Amino acid sequence: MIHASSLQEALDHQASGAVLFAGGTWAMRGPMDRPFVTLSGIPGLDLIEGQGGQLILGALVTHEALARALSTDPGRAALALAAGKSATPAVRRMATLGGNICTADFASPDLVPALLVLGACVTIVTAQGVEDLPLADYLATPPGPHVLTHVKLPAVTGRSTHVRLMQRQAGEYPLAALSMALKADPDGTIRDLRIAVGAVEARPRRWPALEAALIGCTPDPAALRGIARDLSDFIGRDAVDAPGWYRTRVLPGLVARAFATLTAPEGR
Amino acid sequence: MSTQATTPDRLTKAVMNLPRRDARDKLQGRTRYTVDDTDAGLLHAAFRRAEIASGRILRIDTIAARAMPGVKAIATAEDAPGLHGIGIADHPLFADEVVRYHGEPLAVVAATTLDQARAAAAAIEVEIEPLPACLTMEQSLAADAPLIHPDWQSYEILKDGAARGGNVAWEATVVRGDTDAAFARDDVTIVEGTYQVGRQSHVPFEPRAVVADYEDGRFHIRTSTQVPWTVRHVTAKVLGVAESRVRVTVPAVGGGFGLKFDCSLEPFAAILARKTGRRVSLVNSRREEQMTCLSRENADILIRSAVTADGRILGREATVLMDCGAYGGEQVFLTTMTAHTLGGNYRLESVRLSSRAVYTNTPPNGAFRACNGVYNTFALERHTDEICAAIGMDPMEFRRRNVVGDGDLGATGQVFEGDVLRPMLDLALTKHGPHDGRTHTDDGRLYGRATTVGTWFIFVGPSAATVNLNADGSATLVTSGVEIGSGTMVQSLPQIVAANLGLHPDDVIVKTADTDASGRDLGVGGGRTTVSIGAASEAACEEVRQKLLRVAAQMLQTSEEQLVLKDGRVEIVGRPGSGTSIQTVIAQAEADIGPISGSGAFTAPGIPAMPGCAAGHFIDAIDIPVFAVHDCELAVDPDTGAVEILSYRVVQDVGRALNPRAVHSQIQGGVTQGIGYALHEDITINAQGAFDQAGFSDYRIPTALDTLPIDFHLYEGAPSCGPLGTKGAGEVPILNVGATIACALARATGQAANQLPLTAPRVMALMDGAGPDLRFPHISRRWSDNTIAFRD
Amino acid sequence: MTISLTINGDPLEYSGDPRRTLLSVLRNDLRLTGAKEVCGEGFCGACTVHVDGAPKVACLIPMGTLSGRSITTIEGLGAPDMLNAVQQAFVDHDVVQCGMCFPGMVLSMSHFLAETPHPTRDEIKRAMTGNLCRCTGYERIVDALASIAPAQEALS
Ligand SMILES: Cc1cc2nc3c(=O)[nH]c(=O)nc-3n(C[C@@H](O)[C@@H](O)[C@H](O)COP(=O)(O)OP(=O)(O)OC[C@H]3O[C@@H](n4cnc5c(N)ncnc54)[C@H](O)[C@@H]3O)c2cc1C
Ligand code: FES
Ligand code: FES
Repeated sequence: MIHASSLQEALDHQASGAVLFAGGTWAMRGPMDRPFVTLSGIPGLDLIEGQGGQLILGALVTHEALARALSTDPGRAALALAAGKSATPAVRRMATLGGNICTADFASPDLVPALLVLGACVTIVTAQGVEDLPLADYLATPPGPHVLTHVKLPAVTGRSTHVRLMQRQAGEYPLAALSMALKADPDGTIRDLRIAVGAVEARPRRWPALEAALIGCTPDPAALRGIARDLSDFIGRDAVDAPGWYRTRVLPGLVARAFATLTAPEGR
Repeated sequence: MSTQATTPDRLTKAVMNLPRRDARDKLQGRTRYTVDDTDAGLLHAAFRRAEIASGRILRIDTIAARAMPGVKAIATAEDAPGLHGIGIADHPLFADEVVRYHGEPLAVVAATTLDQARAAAAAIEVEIEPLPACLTMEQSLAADAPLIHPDWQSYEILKDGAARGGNVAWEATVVRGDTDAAFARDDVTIVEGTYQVGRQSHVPFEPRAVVADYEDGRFHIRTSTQVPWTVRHVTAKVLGVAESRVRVTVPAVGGGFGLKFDCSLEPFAAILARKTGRRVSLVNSRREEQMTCLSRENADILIRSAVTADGRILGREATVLMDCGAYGGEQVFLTTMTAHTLGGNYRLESVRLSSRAVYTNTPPNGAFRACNGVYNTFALERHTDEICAAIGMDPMEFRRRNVVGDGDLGATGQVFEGDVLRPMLDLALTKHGPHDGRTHTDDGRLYGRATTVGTWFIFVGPSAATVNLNADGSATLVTSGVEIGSGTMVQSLPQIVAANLGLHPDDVIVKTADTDASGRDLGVGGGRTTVSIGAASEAACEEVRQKLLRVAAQMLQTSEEQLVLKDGRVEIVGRPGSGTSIQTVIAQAEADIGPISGSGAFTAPGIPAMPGCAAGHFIDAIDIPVFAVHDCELAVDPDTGAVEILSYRVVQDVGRALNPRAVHSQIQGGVTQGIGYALHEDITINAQGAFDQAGFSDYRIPTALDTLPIDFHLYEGAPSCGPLGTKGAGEVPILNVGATIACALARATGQAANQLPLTAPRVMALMDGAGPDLRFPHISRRWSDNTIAFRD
Repeated sequence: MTISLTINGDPLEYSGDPRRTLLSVLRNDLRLTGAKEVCGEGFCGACTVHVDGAPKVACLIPMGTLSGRSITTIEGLGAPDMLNAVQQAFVDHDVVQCGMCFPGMVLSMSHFLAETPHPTRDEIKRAMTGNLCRCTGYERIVDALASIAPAQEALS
């Protein structure tokens, strides 16, 4: 186990085969055949900072800290819910934002769909230098060896939410997770809408077809379910916790639930 | 039985909410379970297990592994050639020549550290030639199925009288009356249903674990078990030594639920202790514990009934296929239970039951809290609701009319004593109100409610107890009981002894099992501890009491009949304060006759069945029936298939509740385990014959948010031969949970909820009209085809 | 490399494999067996300890990350003859069964009640979702915890 005190050091060790170690809640359950390099000695990675409407989050911010920091931010409720309802209380105290995004073979990271609907950009550092890129791009083409240092969230004006479906009420990965960010006119017309889905496919992604179909509409719940069903192009992932057909089958219901939450009178 | 007159007084004294004496240590982390034996000098053992469901062993080469650092000994099949089992000796300790399930032990290594043992186990060279495997009972029962035990006919029979053959390890049948005639009548409706359940894993928080030592030419086995005497017997048998060479002691057990009702790791550790001359610890990793769990078995069930328009059950035929996995194990015994569980609850004018343990190339199954009863009750109660739908009768009314009552016959023709279930049903109806026919909740979820009945029994049988009276006036109770968490050893037993000897329970020391000190016992399970060990303890107390009173009568110049034991004193009846302290009497006794002790024993009274009805059964009739009525309201989310239990209510026949608070704990815990069974806990077996669920991330036991406060009523006063009229209360709470939830869910969704667990995807599929295929080509509609004994 | 930390107030200099779990060191080296290894992967909470006062799962913490930290295990909570309010409530309500989950349960819930003195029943249950119990069915544990806050109010 190596304690990196700078990003360069972390990158060097990573280049020679070490595995980055953040909260360890994923890494400690995998093979232990390679050395770990811890990031906790690198300054600034646990920062949570508002800049104007923008929010900058360090990669080492824990789920617990994230949920607490965002508890009074309705625009980013999706992220607060994702961070506050995933895993278990003790694991949320350990697991980090960066770990959630960077665990490449993890289909059900709760934070990722929430970050996608909030328009997150990530800052990564590679041997080539520092780079800012949209989270969606990062997910689509995972870069080579890198350290993710920060996540930047733009200013928000609407509301957002995150619904996660489990078999039990807590303590497990979602079978399907859906984040939604909505901006609507006072008459209910959808101005802006972003929807992202986690756990259904190998990695979380946005649902552009549904977003496009709904912008400008004022859908009622039944219609919403129907449109979601018709426009679903997800191919559900078969795994021990649930069959693939089920993950896609439940999506219209999750859309309706998220939409109902976001269109309920304020304060509910 | 002791005199009626003394019972009420002893009972009043015995009933209390005595808190557990082991709670403080458990809350402070001081309790040492078997897994906590981490002392220096201990060797650690690890298995090499087969990673194939069926195969021929070509080579197991341990030479390289033996040379690895820290390795002290390796054991394989040559070290334990004997076969053991229940009913039939079909089980070798290590896979020998063939592998019959994924996870079967091939070798076990003892080394200085666990990592060394694991590394060496992995380095053992193994060559196995794959053979065709039967992974389901349907495959095992196919006409051309390979035999999992080709030598089944040569196995030693440990209990006579059962039909066996092919891949059927054991068959128990019940035939009473003429079902053919009943089904042939033209005034009956014939209702047929098929039901299927998966396995359930116990997940005791302490896995199976043992520390074995070889001392003075004998084995000393400290183990996490419910059955010290079975461990002693099986270890001796497999090792080929006299049973007297094995001593078993049991520290606090971190949960059992039936998993530890069989010998498991102990003989492996014993062999290594003998080979190394050192203390050897063998503990299942969580993965091993899950992957080789002696689970509640999966079962396929067909029930057919011939019912009149007014709801009389003229005939019932059922076939219950129980997957025993690669070896017979507990399922051989559990075939017996079908007669009393699926054959229970209702008056049947004629009945034929076939209950079979079927071999498959899968990990062996075992006993789990209310074993067999849980799924047979599910099948029976779902079937009952299907009957009600078919004849158009209200389900509560049907149950009220048909539940067994005083003088009614059970499936095997035993005569039931007392009306118990009907008054319990009436009580449930009064307490919980009639079903209101609601089908929707305000939030659009589908609503369903159901009430079910269940029959269980206390598994009595031999127990022994000794009570030593100490000079300080305390008593020591020596039995083979162990504390698995249910509280019997720290609550009901000291309460019983104290009430009998006029002591406070705090003055009763309870020794946990040590087969060198305590008498033989069947073990802690089947709800039998309070009943069997309690009854033996009462008998031991009676001897102590008589000795004490004889001495005291002389001292106090009165007759023994005039004396009572009370508050640590011997008092003359009606003259409080006139007697003397128990210590004074003990001192006098030491001078006159020596220290006072008593011994007691108990065994099953042996209620008769109707001769000729039952074949292949270990218990023909049940000595202490236990009944339960459960009521559940739930809501199903039509978008996701998720089920929320809105209320859960229990009326439980407890005979007498000695410690009502402890019974409450058992009900809350047992129903919660049942909720897990009904909704979340799923085990699937993959193409390699291994479980898909290897640990806590996939095997879903209930969290705090998945249960609710269980409303309960303890129904007292039903007949029981147990001490002070008790019946065990720990097993039965789980009995009808699967049944009740499935019946409520079927009403909510209007779909046949005939498969457990009802996971959200399964419920969704049901609602989509894509339920499971339960046509069961391997179960014939002609009952006799499903037997060896009656097949023509 | 040596890692210095304190365990229940006692200093520990650890120089073994830094990837070894705190749980393994507690149980096997220090013979502090109150923390249990049940799932070994963060789900059950039976291995819970306090790291600088916050409950975490010791099965997922490598020794190498603990330099300068202060660990409290169940053995270090209070004194042998002194139960804390949570332990006392568990005794008074007689909620213990096999006991394997309770060291972790006590450590998690003691911290939770210190942070949330007047919890609702639902908050208690949510805080408990990382501490699984196979025996009790939880509700009586919740009852015991719910009794603490009002009792403390009554005393003050
Ligand atoms: C009991 C339990 C329950 C869980 N439940 C959930 C759940 O409900 N929802 C959910 O989303 N997740 C859940 N998880 C998964 C959880 O481990 C991850 O979500 C967590 O966020 C990973 O963060 P970490 O800091 O612990 O990562 P680590 O284990 O430290 O690292 C994980 C991976 O990410 C890489 N990595 C970490 N940080 C960086 C970085 N800054 N830059 C580049 N690479 C990096 C590491 O090299 C490693 O490959 C659960 C885990 C457990 C143990
Ligand atoms: S053993 Fe650490 S959480 Fe289960
Ligand atoms: S008391 Fe046994 S696991 Fe909780």
